[in-house]
Amino acid sequence: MSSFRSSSSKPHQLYAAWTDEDLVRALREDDKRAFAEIYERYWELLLGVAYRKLNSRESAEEIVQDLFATLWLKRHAQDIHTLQPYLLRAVKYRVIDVLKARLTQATYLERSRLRIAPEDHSTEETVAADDLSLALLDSLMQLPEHTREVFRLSRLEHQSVPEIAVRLNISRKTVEYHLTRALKVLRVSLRDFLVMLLLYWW
Amino acid sequence: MKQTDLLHLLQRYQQGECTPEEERVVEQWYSLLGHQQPPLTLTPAEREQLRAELWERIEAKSLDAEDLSPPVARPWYAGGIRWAAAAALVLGLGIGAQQWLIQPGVTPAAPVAIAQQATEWQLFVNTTAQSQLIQLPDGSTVRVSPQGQLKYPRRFATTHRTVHLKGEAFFDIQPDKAHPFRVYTHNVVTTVLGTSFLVRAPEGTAPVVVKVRTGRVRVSPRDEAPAAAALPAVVVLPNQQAVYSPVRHKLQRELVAQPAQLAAQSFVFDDRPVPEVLAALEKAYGVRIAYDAAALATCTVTLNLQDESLFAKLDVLCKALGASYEKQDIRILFRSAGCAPR
Repeated sequence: MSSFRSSSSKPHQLYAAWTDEDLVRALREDDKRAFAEIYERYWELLLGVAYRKLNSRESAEEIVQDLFATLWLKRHAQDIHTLQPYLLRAVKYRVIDVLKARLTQATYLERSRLRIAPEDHSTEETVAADDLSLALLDSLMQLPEHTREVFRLSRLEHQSVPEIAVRLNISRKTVEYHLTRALKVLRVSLRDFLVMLLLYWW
Repeated sequence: MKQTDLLHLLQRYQQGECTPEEERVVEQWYSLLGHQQPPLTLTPAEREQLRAELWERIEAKSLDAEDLSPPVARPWYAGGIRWAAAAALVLGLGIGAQQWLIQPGVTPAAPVAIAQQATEWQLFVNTTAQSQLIQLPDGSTVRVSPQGQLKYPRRFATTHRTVHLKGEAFFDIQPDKAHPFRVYTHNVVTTVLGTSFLVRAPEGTAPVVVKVRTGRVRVSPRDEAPAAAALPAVVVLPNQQAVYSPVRHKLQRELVAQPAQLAAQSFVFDDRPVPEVLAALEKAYGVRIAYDAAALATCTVTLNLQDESLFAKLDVLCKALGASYEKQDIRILFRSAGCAPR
């Protein structure tokens, strides 16, 4: 590779010792090595997040490239308070961009009644995954806020019914009620395969 | 909820125009997204490669793009008019250029104007009147013609070797199948595994020419080139050239003007059948010659063709036989009515 920093296994130790704040300040002053150090610190985290959200390594790589290129090109214009939340937010916006694009494309495909070639399995899976992510958003929209939060804690943070009850200061019965309700809505609105998944996780 | 509504919701979220309630939904949704997905797993080697690759692409999009951005106003190469003149000169002196191709005898000289760029790309501009030899990090050499401009990295990437060319240069590439060598010019990309070839990429609308001396290369239109979509890549063999015309947006193969002799071969024929002579030419120059073997079977010639070029040899042969030939893409069509049986 043509780089002076990321190529060596031991990049600039000086920069490695810097705080994120130092790096952000140096970045604003056109310090390319600070930029490279930011990349060293965060590329893998950001790639991992984008990959899990999109289930596509290609899209995830594009997001990381685009994000860092923009970070450099707009280094004077951007107001970065804390680096990591800033970068994660940037990934989020780009992930949403990709999903929006997929949604548009899916709509188009549906309208034009094009069917995906059966032998092209990867595409099929990607489309299925998109349906899933957007169907999830659709379903969440239909849930009252409390139900949503209970569902999120249960799914994402793997908290048990008693834990959620304590955390939200509600009875266990109420927690169970919200979970049942969430499942019901999701069952109705999500595709069969997703229901299967949900039942499996439950 | 309709898909368009979902789209609008996401749109509003990105623009910060959601209600607090909507915002929470989108954020809850986002946090749930893919949480059941297994994480991306990479071996240490894959991780290292990906890290380097991504960085390289980021550099190309950010640092490089910026380093080259002042040139938008004032290009890093010489002005367009001078370029057009240089291109016309080279194109006009086809035979001279070919001569140079066959005898690369210009003494290596120190690079004339190597400007080190911040991204560790070296920019070589040949401002002299002679071709200049550049040694690349992998041991490959590039003979850059006068006015030529070569941009190459101080170290090559882990996956491929990439250089950028404006103008004309002759490449002698170290074989390395694991690291394809790519020459980017304005319109086409030439990919090779180890070979020697000439690339002529004048500025403007003059055709781009890739001449192959040894090995084989693949020439494909650059993605960024306008309307490049439909053009397939062509594989170019020795003594062939790919010519890309930006005006007609056409990429085709043809024989070089002066094919070089590729294999040792005697051209002294004493009362030999014509097909034997033609076969010797095919072998020596790696060129396909189409002819009517039956018609020519009875013809014999006595010739000494040692010193002439391929086409001069064919001219002599045609004169002796009352035959003719023409170039057709990468083939030669040899036409003869045959000989009266003796």
